[in-house]
Amino acid sequence: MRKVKFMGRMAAAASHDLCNVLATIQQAAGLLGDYLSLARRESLKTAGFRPKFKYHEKFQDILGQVQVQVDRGQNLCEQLSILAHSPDENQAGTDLGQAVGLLIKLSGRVTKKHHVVLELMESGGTFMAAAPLIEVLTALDAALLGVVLACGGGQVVRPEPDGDGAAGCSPDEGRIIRFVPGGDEAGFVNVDILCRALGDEAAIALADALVGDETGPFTAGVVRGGVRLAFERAGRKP
Amino acid sequence: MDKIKLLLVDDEENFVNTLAERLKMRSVSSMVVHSGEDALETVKVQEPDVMILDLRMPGIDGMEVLRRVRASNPKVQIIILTGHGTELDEEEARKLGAFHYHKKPIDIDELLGTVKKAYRQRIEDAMVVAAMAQGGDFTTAREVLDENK
Repeated sequence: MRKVKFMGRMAAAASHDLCNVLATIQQAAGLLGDYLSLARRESLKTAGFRPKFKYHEKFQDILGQVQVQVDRGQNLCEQLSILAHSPDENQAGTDLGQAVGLLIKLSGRVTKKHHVVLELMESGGTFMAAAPLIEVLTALDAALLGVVLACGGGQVVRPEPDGDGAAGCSPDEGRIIRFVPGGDEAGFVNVDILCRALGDEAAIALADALVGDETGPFTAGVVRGGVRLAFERAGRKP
Repeated sequence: MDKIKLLLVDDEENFVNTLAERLKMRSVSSMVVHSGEDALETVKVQEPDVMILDLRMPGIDGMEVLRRVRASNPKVQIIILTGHGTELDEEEARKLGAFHYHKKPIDIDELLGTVKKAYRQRIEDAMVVAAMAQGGDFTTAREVLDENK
């Protein structure tokens, strides 16, 4: 845990600096844009006597691209900051919906590489797990990687003779991995990770592998079309 | 808007100097300092209407500057602009009386909008206090000032 906290502190400091870098780039690009506008206004005021900058439109396009990338960087920076603070102590619990949202935003590379789409299904309500964000994210990430690999990168899985759940799903459906947060009356909250291309056998193997020999803050089981990670509900009396 | 006395406090010199230049192009002049210590000195000799303040700075950090300025010059409206925005930071800054909390990077027009709102707030507060003091209601005037603390 000491190493995790160290990584968190370093990543938090880096994300802070990154935001400052982005802010400086954004303002510098903005200032260029301001001067471009000024030059255009002066050209108009002098009725063209002072000629307009030849590459005005090109520059504006480029500045627009810079702004798009700054926005993208800012988004990543915010997610990185949340991730960096995930090992912090004194957390009342972890909102599973928010944790899934964060994981989805940080998993752009994985989804691109494996040609899958990640979706968070809103099931209404807030489901708070009695586990630090870092633990929830670690479990969700392991499950996601397992599902991605078991789904064969979105390829159609051949029907199996024992009525495997993957039978007959289309390639597009097979590329969608859905996260469904929920909870029960017994004091547990959970996230179902579902993929139509995930067969029953693969789901069982994945659930077993997720729990392994270690005791963690969650249990893993099989649900129709996927696996379920269950956590103790935050605030529950022992 | 040229009459707003605006103080920019940020140790990222390139960022804050560029920001000042862009604000100037929008008819808002500003004083620029690069440390918490310089910010406190400036407030002592030339009280600004509005301050844009970074949180993480070497030496006296932004949160401490916020705390001290709210105690010594409660009429100054302080806008936090930080690249290191945790929810806890935002909560603490608001508790200490920050007018608004922005994260970097930020669109210049959005920031300018907040500066104008903060300035308006400062003027309104001053008018209320003046009106009450003129009517001899120093107790209420004091309460208004204390509310700003």
